[in-house]
Amino acid sequence: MPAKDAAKQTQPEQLLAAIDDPSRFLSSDDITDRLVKKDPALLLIDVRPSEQFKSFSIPGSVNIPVDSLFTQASMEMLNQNAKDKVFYSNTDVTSDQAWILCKRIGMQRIYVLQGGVNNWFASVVKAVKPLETGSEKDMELYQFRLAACQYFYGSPDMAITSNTAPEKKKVTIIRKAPAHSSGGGC
Amino acid sequence: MDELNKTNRLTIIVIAFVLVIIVGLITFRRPDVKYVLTPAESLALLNNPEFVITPEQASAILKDSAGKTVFIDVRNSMAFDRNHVKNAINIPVRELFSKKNKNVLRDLEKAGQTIILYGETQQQANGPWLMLRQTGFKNVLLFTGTFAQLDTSHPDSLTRILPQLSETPLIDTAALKLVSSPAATAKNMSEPAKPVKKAVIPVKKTKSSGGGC
Repeated sequence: MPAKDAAKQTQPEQLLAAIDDPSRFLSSDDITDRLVKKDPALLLIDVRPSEQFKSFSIPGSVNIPVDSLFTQASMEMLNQNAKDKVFYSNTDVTSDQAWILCKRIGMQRIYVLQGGVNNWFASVVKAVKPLETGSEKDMELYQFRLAACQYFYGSPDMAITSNTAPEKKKVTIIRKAPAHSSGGGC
Repeated sequence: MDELNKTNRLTIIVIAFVLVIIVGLITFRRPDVKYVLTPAESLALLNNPEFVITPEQASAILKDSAGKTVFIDVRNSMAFDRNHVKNAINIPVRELFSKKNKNVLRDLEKAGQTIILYGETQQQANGPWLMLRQTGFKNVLLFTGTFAQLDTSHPDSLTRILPQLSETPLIDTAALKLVSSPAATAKNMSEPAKPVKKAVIPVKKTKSSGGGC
């Protein structure tokens, strides 16, 4: 291993301490909130195989399958300090593995979506209405999730009265080519 | 007399000084944990079924108890005391690289034992597994289920029917295509199949590609 590479790396003991620290996990609602607000600093990265990414992904995410994590194209996308990189997979196992390896090579501003896309789908897209006796906060959270879901997918059970909803839906299913660098600029 | 006292004091000071230096050297040269695999080599470990163990395989090992396998529980000591796999060793995540635990792990490796790491969920054991693998332990397997699936004191628990691999997509994508395309649902009454296909054609829009001025 080259010496300069070794110096930049997070040492095993520090990395273990980082692993033990749950602050890298972001919740589904956190992510949804930032997506709806179109946070420019958010970069969602799907580390699942590309077939799974194609069949379903969180709107606005890019696909970097975990085996191509260290390719040059991926590294160009990941090695930018201006963005919060959030890894997700079906649960949070593979995404966390990707996080650990990226943390090891000294990457900054990286996070993991807690519960992965399975949990995101179950809690946001398939949001369950709280009981009548539930707190106001629960109700607010539910309303937020419903609104977010409409924002992403339009409303399936209501007649389409406004023509903006389907348009938005179309935007969300764009698939970005994984190799495409979102950087660029002048 | 006075002079003798002085030399005595001097020797004591010198001895104390040397002792401090020796202690400093010992703590400084504490053997560090070092990476054996490069990041790229570590990446190759992921998604390899050879390095993980499913709940099914684990319960077979538990019944067999051949003595070639050791379970290591990475949960905290409170959870461990409440209940754990028979003969498991408790090494909480944070204490993985403590001197005592390193010795335990090295002894197990020398004895040719296979180590199975488990936590409350696979996610919890994931980090320690990857750390041990990266630092050169070749006999460590990751349990892909939850502790509840190993818990023999509740054998008929519902957790048995959980997926064997935790990284299983649970989303019904076929149903989702209907949800994600209101146009398709509207047309669905007359033509059920075709509109769905139409709906998945990616719409090209320049907005999201970013970059540019």
